[in-house]
Amino acid sequence: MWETIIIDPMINALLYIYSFLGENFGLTIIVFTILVRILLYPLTAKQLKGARDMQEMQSSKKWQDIQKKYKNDREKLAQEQMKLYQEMGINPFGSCLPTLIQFPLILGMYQALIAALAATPIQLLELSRHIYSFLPNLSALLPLNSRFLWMDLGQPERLFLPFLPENWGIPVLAIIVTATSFLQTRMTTPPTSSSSGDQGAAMTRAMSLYMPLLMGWLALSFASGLALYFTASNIVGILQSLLLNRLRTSIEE
Amino acid sequence: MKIPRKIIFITILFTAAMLSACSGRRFSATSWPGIAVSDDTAYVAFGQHVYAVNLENGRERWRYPDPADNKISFFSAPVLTEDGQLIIGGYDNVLRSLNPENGREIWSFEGAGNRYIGSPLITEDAIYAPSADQYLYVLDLEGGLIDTFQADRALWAKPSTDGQSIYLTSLDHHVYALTPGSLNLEWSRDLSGAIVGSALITEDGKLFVGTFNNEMVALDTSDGDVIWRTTTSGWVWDQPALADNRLYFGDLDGAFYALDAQDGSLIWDLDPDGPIVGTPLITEEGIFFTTEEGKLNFFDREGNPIWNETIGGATYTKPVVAGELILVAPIESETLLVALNANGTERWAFTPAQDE
Repeated sequence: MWETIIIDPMINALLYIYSFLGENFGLTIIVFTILVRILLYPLTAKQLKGARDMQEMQSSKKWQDIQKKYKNDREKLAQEQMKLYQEMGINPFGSCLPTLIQFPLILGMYQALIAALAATPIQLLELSRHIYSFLPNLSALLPLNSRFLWMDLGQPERLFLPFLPENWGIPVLAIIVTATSFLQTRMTTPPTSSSSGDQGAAMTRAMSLYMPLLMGWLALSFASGLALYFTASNIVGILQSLLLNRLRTSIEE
Repeated sequence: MKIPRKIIFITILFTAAMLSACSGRRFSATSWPGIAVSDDTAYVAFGQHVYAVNLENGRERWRYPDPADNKISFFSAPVLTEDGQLIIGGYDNVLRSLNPENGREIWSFEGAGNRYIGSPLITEDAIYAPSADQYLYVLDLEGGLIDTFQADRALWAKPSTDGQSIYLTSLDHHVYALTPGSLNLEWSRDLSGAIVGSALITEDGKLFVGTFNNEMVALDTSDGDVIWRTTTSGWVWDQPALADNRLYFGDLDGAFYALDAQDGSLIWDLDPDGPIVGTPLITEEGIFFTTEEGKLNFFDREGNPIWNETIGGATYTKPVVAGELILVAPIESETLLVALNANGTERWAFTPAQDE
């Protein structure tokens, strides 16, 4: 089921794009990521709207009054907050649920990348079962060229420079992934109150901290094809946020 | 407060666990066993050991390394040399020479940049070791590097020779003909599909090779010209077998073929029970081949079934003859090596003892 719905379409899409891009798998991952981000645009827009609504709620006078009034009663504060969410039509998890929905896609992308690069006999045998027979000539593309810039996309990425000691590689993509994840999270999540009774804000703070670190660790530890996907995805996400903010500003003006 | 943190924590743990599970970092089978036989011993390379198994009773004589080393694993078939070495390439990028009597290491070559998936070809004075790093390494019989040849992609298949040239197949879709010693490129031929099996060379100057372009192709060994091409229904993985001017092989769609070696015309085909990876074994009595469904099939040379025996697990390794025995090595099974009599009854089965 998982393979039929997620893995097989991803593998065949990757191979199909690869056939048009001069058999460059790095470019294939970047183009595929852009397509995925376009498909996920409704979720991204919803996430940004949720973040904006939350920001507006937290800066409202009514919420600040409630905070003052119930600053010594956490339970009551939480109840009033939920009431306010309902009044303003806000889903407290609206800004982070779309992010969580992307996890299956990340997992699927990783599995599809490793499957498509097929570095061992069992993997290549498995790959033969995933290729759609109705798409012509995909088998003739195999094996894929896993080299992209200084990377082997099937291996964790490190940049080795001549002036550094042997075996000292710089994890360039892991650093970029952490930085862009942090930037993207900052742009797509609202500033939060420090109220300990605010569940949504607590979750948002935690996500802002953990997500970039998690992404950086994944980019450091796993195949660089996945890190390239994260990098491209984050950059497209940042551009989408900038574009949406600009559109909103121009509409408000 | 508790619920959101739980959601985050569980999501992070789930993603990390799922990614770790499919990273291939922990040891797991990434290929199938390789077998070599001498008069009294079978040598089986699988996972963290090369095992020497007594052909009389199926008991282990030795294993290498002992104890296991997590960084070392083997899958390609070992090769015996005439001067008494057992040459085996590992997934740790190291080619080793072992003493076939006791499994002690004689020498090792650590110059490759990737794993050895294909077995080395041994000639009178050299070892031709194909590596997944795209290089063919030519060594003397003491492990000293003589020369290299670079293809465009990984080399997974044992090179072949007719004594005049070395024939190399590659995942870069090419067959290469090289001059022994100098490694000069005599010719190369693009067959439009990856090649993971060795080329079969005949005395009358033909070379047969199966491809992922769903083809069996015959080339002229003198210049690489295509003599004929026959379409199959699926990828052809391993080397074909030849007997009585007929080529026998299977494909990943589960079809098994007998072709006329002269013109590639179909003599008969059949559809047993699952993908066929390994080269068939031809004996005077008939044809043995394994299927992914874990069966050893025995047909006569006209394609009539005689018997089949369920081995268990999945069988990708080609069956190997050892005197009167047929050896089969399944994966996904506790048993590593099964010895069958010619009538399909089991003589013995070898299950390696767990490492202490």
